[in-house]
Amino acid sequence: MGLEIEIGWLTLLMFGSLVALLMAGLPLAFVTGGIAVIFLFILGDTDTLNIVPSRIFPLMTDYQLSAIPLFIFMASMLERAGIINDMFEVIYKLLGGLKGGLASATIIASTILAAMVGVIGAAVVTMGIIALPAMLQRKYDSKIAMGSIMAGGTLGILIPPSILAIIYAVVADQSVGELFVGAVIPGLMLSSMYIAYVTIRSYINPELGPPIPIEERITTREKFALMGKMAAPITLILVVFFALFSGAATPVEAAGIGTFGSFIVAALAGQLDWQTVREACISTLKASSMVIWIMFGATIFVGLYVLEGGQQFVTDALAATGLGRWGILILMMIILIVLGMFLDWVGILLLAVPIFVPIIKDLGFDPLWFGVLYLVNMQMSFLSPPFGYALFYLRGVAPKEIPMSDIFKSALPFLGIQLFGLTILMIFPSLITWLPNLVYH
Amino acid sequence: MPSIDFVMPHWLYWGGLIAFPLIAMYLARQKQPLRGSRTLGIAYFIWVVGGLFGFHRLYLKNKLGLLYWPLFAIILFGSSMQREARIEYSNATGALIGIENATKRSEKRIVKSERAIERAQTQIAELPADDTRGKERIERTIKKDTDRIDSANEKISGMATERAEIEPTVGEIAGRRDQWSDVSYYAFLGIMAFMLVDLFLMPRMLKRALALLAANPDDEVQRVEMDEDSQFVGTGFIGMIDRLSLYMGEFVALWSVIAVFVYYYEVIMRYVFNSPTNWAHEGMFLMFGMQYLIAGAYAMLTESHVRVDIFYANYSPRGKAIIDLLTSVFFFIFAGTLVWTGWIFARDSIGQNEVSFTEWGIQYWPVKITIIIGGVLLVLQGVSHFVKDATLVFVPNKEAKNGS
Repeated sequence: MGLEIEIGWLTLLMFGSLVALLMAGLPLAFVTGGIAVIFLFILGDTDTLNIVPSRIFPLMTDYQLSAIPLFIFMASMLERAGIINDMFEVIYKLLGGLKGGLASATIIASTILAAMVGVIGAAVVTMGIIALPAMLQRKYDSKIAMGSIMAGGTLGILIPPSILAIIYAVVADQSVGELFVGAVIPGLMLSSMYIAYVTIRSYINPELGPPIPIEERITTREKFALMGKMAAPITLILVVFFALFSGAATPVEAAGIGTFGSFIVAALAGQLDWQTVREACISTLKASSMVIWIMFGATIFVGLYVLEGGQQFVTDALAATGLGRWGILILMMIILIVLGMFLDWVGILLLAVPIFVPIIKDLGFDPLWFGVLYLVNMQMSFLSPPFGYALFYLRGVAPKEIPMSDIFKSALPFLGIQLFGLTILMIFPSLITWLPNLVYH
Repeated sequence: MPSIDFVMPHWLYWGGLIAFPLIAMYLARQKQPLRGSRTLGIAYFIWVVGGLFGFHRLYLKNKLGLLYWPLFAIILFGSSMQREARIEYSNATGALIGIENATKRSEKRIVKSERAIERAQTQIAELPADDTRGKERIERTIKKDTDRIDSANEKISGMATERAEIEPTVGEIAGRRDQWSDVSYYAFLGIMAFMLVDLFLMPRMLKRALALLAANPDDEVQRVEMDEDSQFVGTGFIGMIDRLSLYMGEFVALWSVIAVFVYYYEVIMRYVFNSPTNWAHEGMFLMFGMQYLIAGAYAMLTESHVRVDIFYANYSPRGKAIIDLLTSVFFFIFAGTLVWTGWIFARDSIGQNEVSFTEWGIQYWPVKITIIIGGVLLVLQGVSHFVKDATLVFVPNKEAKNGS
């Protein structure tokens, strides 16, 4: 139709209809795709619509993206073979004797789990099923218990191999490997801050996290036997990390090695058969196509917006606020946190990051550093009411007598820790950039 | 270490993509072995794919498999040293060739200058005796040419010393390269010999493993059963659409297994045999690209596409259906455009039998066709959802039956 719409109005129209349709419950992939097609037609003509396949095809032939299904496959294979459930039981028994030990064990287990999976649903659900009843039964404070499950579970998208890091790297044209390496220290930092929090709280008030009774504890000898059981999956993680961080293999190859390794780990546990493989394939397919179709829709949507001058509009709007470069960065972080309350993580990345990253580069910040800040920021989106994913994943598996308001409240102290961590990472950028510089330069 | 240059033929790639999922779908529906037990079939399979690491022994609960690891480490180390030496070797030989060419150029220069001097001398002889200015001019050019000869000679001698430095190292580097190649080759042969012996020992190891398992029955991992996605399938014509999405989804889902072994092959080829393939990466990302497109309808059938359900989750089933009917307009606009523009996009590609620009040169048009296939499946799945929602809204007595 070739209508001319002023960019301010266009922004309002495009994002207004985006919000309206999202609230109506249409899946994100189709909301962005549908709106983009309509505006392509309004602003251009039928020929402009040919942008649709030409934006999708590069994603289909993107080498880096194939790490997404592979890493998801590795995690699904371990999960379907029952290895992940097993791991929790082991770590539980190892740490049960400490005050607040089960909560710490939950966080450690989720940190290890985060090194196997790149998404968060599996971790929160698995721990909600196994760890929550175990802690409640031993008279743990339910808020500490639920908070550590949710906070630990969200580490999955920060600690490598994180699916979100791969998507960020593809969208912002960064190296996947460097982003992975850069996220290691922030991930471990958050994880140890969570542990410090639950331990300190339990030592101040032992009723919050009592140690398990002496008769339930196991001997050191048994502990070693249990560790032997964990040897195969831990070796797998080490091999994948070595492949990633020695720079010997590309992230995709590391993912390939990891997936092959997960087949072997499943076989060693006697769980390798066609049924397991089929189930793992299907859950991989669902998770990865969910992610990629959001990319398909959003790449057309954002592509159109940038084409119409949206990039310049946002830059000008930010400059007009009169804030300095740090002010703009903080404003961006706040925008991301607010978006995180409502939108899904892949959606936020694909809608906000293509517009934010050029501005970040203009301001003279390191886009790699910003990428990790973004990953940490997204941790908060999982815990922030009203639409934190982790809250709802946990709601699905927590006992019915726990009210939703309790789940909300249990997330708050951990949200505070995440905000604190984010601030520290902004003040000390070398926490993020030191390790990638060491490995890659 | 010998190098291996297997290039995946195009027919095998496409054929494999079609045949493997069918075989896997058939096998997954057969009776499965008991969970946690060990079978000889899987043991031999692991022997084939992971024998280099002794995984077949570990699978049969035989810890001696760990002894394969140091041997494998030797192979890896040897290969990486060989790779390094190979790079040094090509740098050194490259430098030698450069020196040779430069020397030849300088020699040519000398010949040219000598001729010029000769010419100038005859010119001087022919000059009238009183033309001192002309004589000076010619003598200047003679001087220039002698300078040129001197500097060329200097260059030649400089390069000769350089060559004298490099030449002996070439032999040393080549020797080092062959030596490391031998080291990893012998380690490889060693592993092969062990694997050959294991081939015959494996039945006995299996018996012992089974006895060990029987002694510790609670050593095993607990499994959680997965919900089958066939629960989403409707009835009648709509059921046919659903089943199409379901089977297409499962078909492409099983491609992931191919990727596991292809990447494994690529990594082993690169780091053990120093012969990376030129087809593995391209073949796999194209395969995943096709998978994403075709899986869209499956994800829609199984409600895997994320939606913001702050309000949506609180609606009654009928309320959800009404909202879905309204928003489906946007869905059909997107999916319809995808089919239509996808067709325009793929049409040219099919017409000229487009192939990729890489060495492997795989056909691109089937990849582009999957945009159309994916779009059509998505539209069909949308029709299925539309009919289900409409039934729910307009035929209320069916609500209990469909219950979606």
